[in-house]
Amino acid sequence: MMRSNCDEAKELIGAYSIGATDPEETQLVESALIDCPELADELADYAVVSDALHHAVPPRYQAPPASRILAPVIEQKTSKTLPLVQPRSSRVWWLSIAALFVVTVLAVGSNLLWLNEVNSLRQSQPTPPAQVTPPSYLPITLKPEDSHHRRLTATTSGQPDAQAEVIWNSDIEVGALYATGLQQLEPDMAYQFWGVTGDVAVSLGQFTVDENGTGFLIFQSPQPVVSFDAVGISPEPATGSEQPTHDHVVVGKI
Amino acid sequence: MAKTLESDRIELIRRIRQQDQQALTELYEAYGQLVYNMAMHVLRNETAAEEVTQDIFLQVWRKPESWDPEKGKLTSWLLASTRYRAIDRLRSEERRPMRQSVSIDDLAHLLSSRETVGDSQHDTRRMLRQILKELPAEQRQVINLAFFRGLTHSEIAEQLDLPLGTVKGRIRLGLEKLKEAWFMHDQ
Repeated sequence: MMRSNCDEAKELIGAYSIGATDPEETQLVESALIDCPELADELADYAVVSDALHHAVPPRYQAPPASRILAPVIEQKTSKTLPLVQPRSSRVWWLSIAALFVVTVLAVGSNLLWLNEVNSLRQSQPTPPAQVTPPSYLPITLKPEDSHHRRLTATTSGQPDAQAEVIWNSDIEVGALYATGLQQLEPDMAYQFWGVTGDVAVSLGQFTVDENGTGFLIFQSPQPVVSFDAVGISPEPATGSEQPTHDHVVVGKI
Repeated sequence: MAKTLESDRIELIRRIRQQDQQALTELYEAYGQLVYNMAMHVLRNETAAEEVTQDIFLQVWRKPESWDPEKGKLTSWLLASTRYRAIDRLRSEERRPMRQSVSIDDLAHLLSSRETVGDSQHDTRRMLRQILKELPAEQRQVINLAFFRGLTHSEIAEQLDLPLGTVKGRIRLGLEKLKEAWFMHDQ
């Protein structure tokens, strides 16, 4: 083994210890480990660091109950002769769908009620109110004790009247967004709702607004909403963006 | 104290070898949170994280001898197994959660969230938090992508649209600093 290969492998040994090397680099390091004795010591040191990094994961998620995770073991002894129950993931899926359905129906129902009220107000008031009150039905329909609520306020992006309310149920990470004062967009554009952490945004869905600049969205977050730093809305192509391409018009801290 | 805890763990695994369901439940109660957190941290998907967590504990149940106390602590083994399995799953599904999750998520910043672990793990985390805080953000970012997302040099370069050499340099420098700081604190 040439000395230069040892040196090259030494440059890569840290990355190798955390699995960051590409296949040809991995091969280089592994063959150098045979011929360059000092590399093994180096690798052992990095292994300690790598092990320590495992403990860097913050305890931010609540683990499912033991009865669910360990069910296959427990069922094994208690129901050997019974037919197999549905796979757990399938059950979780159907429960999620059912929960989502119920919440959606409730939320849409409340939205219809609210729209009805808005229409009545419109008929009784020739001019729109200066500040639209968020729908009081939503907190009720998504009311399980642990529902959360945040207000999104206008940024300096040129839509000063924009505002929004978001409520969500943290048990199922389903929520509703209600936005007002948004400008109407071109037909090939739509508003996109984001959960933001640091520099990275997660799309929570898209919606359009009516002639009054009002929009509504039911969403299910792929991760706990409380894990976001903030939520916001930006105008995006109607096909959706992977990350925001325009400034947020409203934002709210989580 | 530490020895007592480790001997407790060995005893727990011994009982699991004898197919003691209660021991498995105790193991889950002790480590389920850590394992699930690691799985969620990598996968960002509750169903997938749950399945990985279940796989890990079923593996312990079926092959408790997989853990060799001579080769490391039970916690380290469980966490490393979980990370590998979660990354395998990411790769098999060709899912890259970076777009829909925290990316850099400064490890140091993440560590500022509540901590429930006591004893030496708490100290380890606190020490790591301090060390990671001192690392430049761009180095933390690439280390995070490699370690928790299972991305290689070239995949990170593509993901972040950076020259390959830059990514390699950041990972190498970041890990060197981590290593130096870790051993310095450890002494």
